[in-house]
Amino acid sequence: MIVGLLGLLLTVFLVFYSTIELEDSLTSTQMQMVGILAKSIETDYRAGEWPFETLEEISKQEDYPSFTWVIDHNGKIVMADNATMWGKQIKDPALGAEKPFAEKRFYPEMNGEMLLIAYPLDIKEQGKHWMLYHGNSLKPIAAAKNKIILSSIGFFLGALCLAFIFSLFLARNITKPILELTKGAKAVAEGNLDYNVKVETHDEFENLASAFNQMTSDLKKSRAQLEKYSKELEKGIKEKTKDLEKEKLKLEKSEKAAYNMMEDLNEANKDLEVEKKSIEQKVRERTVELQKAYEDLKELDKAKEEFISLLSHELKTPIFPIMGYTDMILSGSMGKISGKQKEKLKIIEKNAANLSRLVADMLDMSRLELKKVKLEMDKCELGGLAKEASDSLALLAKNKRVGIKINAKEKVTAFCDKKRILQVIENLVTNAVKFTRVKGKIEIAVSKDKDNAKVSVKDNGIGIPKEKQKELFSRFYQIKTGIAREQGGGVGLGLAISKGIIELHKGRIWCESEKGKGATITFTIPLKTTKSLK
Amino acid sequence: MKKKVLILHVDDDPDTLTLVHDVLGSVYDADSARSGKECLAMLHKKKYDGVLLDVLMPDMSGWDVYQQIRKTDKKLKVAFLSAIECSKERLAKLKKEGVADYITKPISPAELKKRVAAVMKK
Repeated sequence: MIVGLLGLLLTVFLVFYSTIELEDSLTSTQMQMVGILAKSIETDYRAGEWPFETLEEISKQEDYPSFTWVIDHNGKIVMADNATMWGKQIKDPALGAEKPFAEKRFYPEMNGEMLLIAYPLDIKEQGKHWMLYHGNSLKPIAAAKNKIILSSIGFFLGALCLAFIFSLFLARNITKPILELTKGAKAVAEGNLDYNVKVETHDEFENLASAFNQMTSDLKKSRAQLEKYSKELEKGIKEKTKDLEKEKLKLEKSEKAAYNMMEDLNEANKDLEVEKKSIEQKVRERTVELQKAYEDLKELDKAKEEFISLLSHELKTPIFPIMGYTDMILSGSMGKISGKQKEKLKIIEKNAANLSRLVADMLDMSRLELKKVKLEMDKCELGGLAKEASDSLALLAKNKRVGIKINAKEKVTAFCDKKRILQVIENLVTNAVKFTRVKGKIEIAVSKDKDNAKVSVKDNGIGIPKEKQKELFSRFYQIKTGIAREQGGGVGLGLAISKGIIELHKGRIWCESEKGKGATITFTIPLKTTKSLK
Repeated sequence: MKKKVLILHVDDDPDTLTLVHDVLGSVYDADSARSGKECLAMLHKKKYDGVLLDVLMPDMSGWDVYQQIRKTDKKLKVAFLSAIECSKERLAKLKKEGVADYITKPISPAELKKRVAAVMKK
């Protein structure tokens, strides 16, 4: 359609253009010819001749009607190729023009349109040029025009035919497979995977078509698989949904139960709240009572401490003259005494010493209990301390014929209150001497045990039964067990005081014994100790 | 004859006073006072070389007596002889204050002589 329209336009343009071209070329050739003619006429005229024959000759040469006129300054034809025109008057405003011109004019006597060339001659009379007029029929141009139109149409029709044939070929070899493929794609898009594209062109289209068919069949397989999965999934989901519904039912049940429980709990909570308030009230009351009791106890403790302090002072005061004078009399500075007197004075001395010790122990015990004892910490070698204790009790041991052996293989230096640790060792050795048979053996062992100093006092005496070992370190153990008197005095504060002192040192004291095989009392204290000790 | 050193012992217990007098009498001229007030009065009358003070007494404590003595006499040798025990720390503090010694009762006569001698030698 578009091709046809374009061809038509092209033809019209070609015809129009070639017509103008033909006219232009005719005009220019005619103009040249007329120019030459004009020169010849001018020359002849000056020579006094009339080129009548020349004009005739020109007219005869033309296939189509033509005319050639020479017109004088008055517009009268003075010469013409056709003798009938001689002397005729022309009325034309173009006469007398200074320059040649061409013009299409219609002459009825010539049967049609003519191309007129007007050429001014170089002959002037009364200021006006003579003119040479040459007319030529336009018929040859029209004929040429028709020819062009005809050939154009022919060409146009031929081209149209060719285009039609070509499009037929296109449709057969390209459009058809494309259309087929499009159809296939459309079918696939609409979900018809069974559509088979049929292209047998033996070229790329066929390859494309077979690839397309392959793709379709793959798609079909995938879709089938997908459908299978989908069905399985659906089945699974259905089962899950069922399970979930069961669960939901269960949950609802338990929710209900929980709600009921909450109700019960709330009820219980309320009861508890009431209970709590009453308990709080009781606690407050008890706290006040306890506070008062605590204050009372503190008061009591203070009174006890004051009492014991005063009592020990009052006891020590009479002991001083008793012991002093006994000592002085025994030393002989108050005069000579008999052996019998000396013997009895020794008894006084021993009892006074026991009494003095008891008073000191009592005061100690009381202070340890009230945590009023302050340790005086210093570096101290415990082997030396054991020796010191053994020396100070040498007389006591000798009287009972008990041997004291010190077993210290290495120097053990601990940070402790020297006086107090000595007191502990003396207490332990005193006890050991007391509870060892005559001619018994006592061993003081000093060693290191990791970060602790370890001191143990071992005897081979009567031993301490298991059930009594725990009580050993409690106050007045010896009085309670009734063994104090028979073993030569003492109320048994020694071990209780020792325990207090060792605990103040952040140490430990314990007893190991089998009945009849003697007893070992051991204590440990840290080698290095912090200064936070009281 | 060499002039004897004069010592004043203060205690509210008469038996203690007698004992100390008997112990120290062989070495020094020893006087006794039954109370703090009596001690201060005697110190006004006589010039003593040393004073042995009990701590716990009914009218004035030994410590109060000591303060009174130091108000007028900075050089007099004063030691305590008491049944109340004294910690190392307390003793150091007392010595800094100018107390010569602190002796704890009961003490053996021989030991007492030694301690007093040490004080009087200083």
